[in-house]
Amino acid sequence: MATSLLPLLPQLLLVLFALAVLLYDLGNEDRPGLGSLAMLGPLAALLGLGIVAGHPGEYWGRMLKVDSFSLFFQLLTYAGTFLVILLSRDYVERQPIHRGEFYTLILLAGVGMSVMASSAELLMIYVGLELMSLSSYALVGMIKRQDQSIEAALKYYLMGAVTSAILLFGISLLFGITGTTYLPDIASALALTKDIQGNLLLIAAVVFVLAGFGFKVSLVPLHMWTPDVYQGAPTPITAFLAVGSKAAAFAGFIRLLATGLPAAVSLWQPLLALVAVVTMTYGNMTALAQTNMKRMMGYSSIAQAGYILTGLVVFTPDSLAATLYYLLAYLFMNIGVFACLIWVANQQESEEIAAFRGLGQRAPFYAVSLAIFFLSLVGIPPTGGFMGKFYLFFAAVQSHYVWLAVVMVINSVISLAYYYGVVRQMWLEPCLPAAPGAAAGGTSRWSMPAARASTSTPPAAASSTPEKAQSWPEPTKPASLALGVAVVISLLLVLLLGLYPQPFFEWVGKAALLG
Amino acid sequence: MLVDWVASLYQSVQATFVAHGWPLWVLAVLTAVLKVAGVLVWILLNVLFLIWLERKISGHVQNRPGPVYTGRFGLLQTLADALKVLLKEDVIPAGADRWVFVLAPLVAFVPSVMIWVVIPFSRGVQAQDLNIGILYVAALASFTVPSLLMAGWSSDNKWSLMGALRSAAQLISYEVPLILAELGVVVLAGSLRLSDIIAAQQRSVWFLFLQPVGFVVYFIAALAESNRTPFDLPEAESELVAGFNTEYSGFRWSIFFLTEYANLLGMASLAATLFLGGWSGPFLPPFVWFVIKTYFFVFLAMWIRWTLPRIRVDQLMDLGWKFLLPVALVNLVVTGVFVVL
Amino acid sequence: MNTTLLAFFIVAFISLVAAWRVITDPSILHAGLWMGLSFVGVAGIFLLLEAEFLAGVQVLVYVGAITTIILFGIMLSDVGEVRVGPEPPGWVQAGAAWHRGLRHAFPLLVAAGFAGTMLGLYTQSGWGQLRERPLELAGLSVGGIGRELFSTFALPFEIASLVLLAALLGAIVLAMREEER
Repeated sequence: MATSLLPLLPQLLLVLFALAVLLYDLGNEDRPGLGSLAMLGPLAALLGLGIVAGHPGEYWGRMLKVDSFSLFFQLLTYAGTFLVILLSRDYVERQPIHRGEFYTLILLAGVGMSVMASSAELLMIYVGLELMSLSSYALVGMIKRQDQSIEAALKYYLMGAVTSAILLFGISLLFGITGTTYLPDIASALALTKDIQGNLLLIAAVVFVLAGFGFKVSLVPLHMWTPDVYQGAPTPITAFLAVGSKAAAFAGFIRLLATGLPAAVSLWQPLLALVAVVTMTYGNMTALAQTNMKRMMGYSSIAQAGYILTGLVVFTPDSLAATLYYLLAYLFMNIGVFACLIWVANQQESEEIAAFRGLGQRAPFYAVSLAIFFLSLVGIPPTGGFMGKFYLFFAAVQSHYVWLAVVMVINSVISLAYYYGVVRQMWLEPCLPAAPGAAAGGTSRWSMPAARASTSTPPAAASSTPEKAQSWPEPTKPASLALGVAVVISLLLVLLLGLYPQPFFEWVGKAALLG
Repeated sequence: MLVDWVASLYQSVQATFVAHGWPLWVLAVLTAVLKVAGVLVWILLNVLFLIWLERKISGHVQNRPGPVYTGRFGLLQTLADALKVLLKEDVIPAGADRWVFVLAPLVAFVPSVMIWVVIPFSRGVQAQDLNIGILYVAALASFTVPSLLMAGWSSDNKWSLMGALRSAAQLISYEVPLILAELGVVVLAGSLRLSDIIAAQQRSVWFLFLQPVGFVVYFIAALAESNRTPFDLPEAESELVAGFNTEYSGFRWSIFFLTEYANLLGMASLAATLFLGGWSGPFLPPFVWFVIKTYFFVFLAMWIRWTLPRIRVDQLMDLGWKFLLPVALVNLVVTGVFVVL
Repeated sequence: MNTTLLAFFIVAFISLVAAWRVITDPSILHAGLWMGLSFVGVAGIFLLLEAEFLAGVQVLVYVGAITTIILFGIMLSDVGEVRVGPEPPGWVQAGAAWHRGLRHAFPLLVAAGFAGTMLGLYTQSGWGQLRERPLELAGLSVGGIGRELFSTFALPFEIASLVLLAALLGAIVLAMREEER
């Protein structure tokens, strides 16, 4: 059964739900339950994944690979997609976003990510990357009334198009050198050669391919898009880029380096070590100066990419397992942060760090959760982030990368500063008097332009859209259930990963063998 | 007869080349030039005749005789007109984008000639039997839109620009069903090569009978592609003066005119090849069959032009996207299923 | 020098010059047209490699669709001339000329540097030294490409259709006129 549809089941289900959402949204009227339908997609895919897990192997002419590595990243993708849709449910009600297309594109991007994760064929990885990227470009620009969103989409698109051309060029060079795009074949072809260091063509190919993936995970020379895009994009999409896009790109990255280019390790290891150090230092240093929460998370995400990259640099089974573990924890802590951010933004109509003032009094649950997610991002017990970082640290020290481990620790200390800045706002600053947006009537960027034009009129009167205006910024609206659920799920998993890591260790240990 | 004679002539010339040790690529270039010249002469003769035919048909449709004074039945009328046009002043408007303005007619005309490279006139009479036959034709047809846009933009005239945009929208909309209809034939024949398609029809029946829907879609889309009524919105005289070529005059204008008729002829001969078995037929020589079938479609197109009114822009788009495209898709799917079974 | 090589140099030269003009031509419409020419040149290179199918598809897609859409977009938007870089200071005529020269030369220099590096790399290392077996080049015919697309490469081919769907959807959503609901 080389061309059986069964191993494709999770992806097929996701596509099916994407199309179902698209068709259900046909027409002008608001469809009830659209978000729930979209949420069923990744859930169904998770179920399908359970079935597929029993059928490891290679299918479709070696294009599709089902192994513990691909299962791990598919799980990550589907969980991420599910949580992002959960975050979006509240968000799309308050923003002028076309819901049907929004959900469809999220699901399609999810398909792209899972395709990237479940193949050892460069062609498939590239096609998956393109599916993910094209969907994300559009998703970033979904709030068309905001210049920031459009600007972010344009930047992301232009840079992304160029880097994927570079990636493709690198792949074509690899194909030219080895005559194949199948990673194990590339590895065996490279194993035959003696003079890896002297093969300049191979060096160029490796650099180009690394650049292509480096853009997606925002490594330093290719990080420029990150803060702008993170700030401009709809917040759930920012979360999606931070967790989904990054995890999938790392999946491709790891697969490429570990399966395809292990023979060329002497080429890429020093390069990536340098990049990792620069990336985390730059990300953390720049994050210190930020006043916008999403922008700060953008720089934080650059820094985190640096941490994750150390696992690849060390390049032992242990360090790869640590990378996977960290990515798993990273998914939940980031989703948690963004869920809290969306909640606060809904209340305060602002994404500035100042909007978190007095959150400890207003909403202790969200404040405490956010603090825990921050602890996890810094790497302080008893959180998943700590275990992940510790594991990475441990793997680095074990294979004599002590200096790298030291850089990591120093960086973690730096990062404490800016996370603490937010925590201080939440507890040590006095509570804000009232939500500014409620009185001013949409002076902030959170309102529709119609309302923005006349600052004195409340949005309900200024906007010509009666039914929308009623549900439009209502800062006192009680927290949506969906956001709370997302926070609780993330919180539980972050703590679980921190307190009871053993089964997860075994799992990522098996996945990191790429068998 | 003629074909065999040409083939033997070619062989003897080749033998001469080999005997004298002359480089063979000279021969290749020579034959290529001769082929192009042949195609050009064929197109020019036909266009002369077609314009006369159009005027005659329009005349008779409207119950008037058409041209009668110049030559017998007015046959020399087009020649006289052509001379007149060539003697006119060649105006390039002051605000025109000079290079683009000059290049536009050429970009339009050259592909319409190049299409004839793959059209099989008779058994073995084909400039080059490319294995991508239909794809080649479709690819060349895609030059039309840029050429019209070039002409419309460079004229610095709002009517031209509007005409160009209209025509570009129309051509894009109808290119899709056109190619999909052609694909139905390709699926049946199992080849893109035009000689294979004719051979497949000789084995079974004309694809007109196997692909009636595809044929209708092809014909409608081809009418739209050649900008003929009821799809002549790009040059709707009553609205847009003359559309994209408003500012063109003299020789450059005549090239556009030539292109239009060359395209009509190309579409008709392709229709004959794809759906009516090309040059194959009983009793008469193959070349005669080819001409008869081609002219049947030409006549049909002219008949329609002088009978039907022009449709509106929104109707045009609706017809293309909401009717022809789905029909063509369904036709293709049904054909595919039919072939597989 | 044989004719194929000569033809290759001519075609490659045309597409390179056209590509260079795409970035240097101040009129954006001209840039679009140059881009079309560059695509035609690439199709010519495919023809020289005896990949007729790819050449046909190249013209059909890149000239027929992409160039057309770009020209269309230019005409529907209100962009006449694009300026690359800041305006030169008006009081130095020579400076302005130098700036113009630089503007034209800079992309050329970057491209030439890159091309030089890559050419060096191409000649330096032998291609396919590491190949275990020679490439099968039989797949270049139309039938061969079709069979490969529907057997070995069926999965990426199908996923490419999803890529197109996502692109289409994204383009429509971003370009759609916002109606006041």
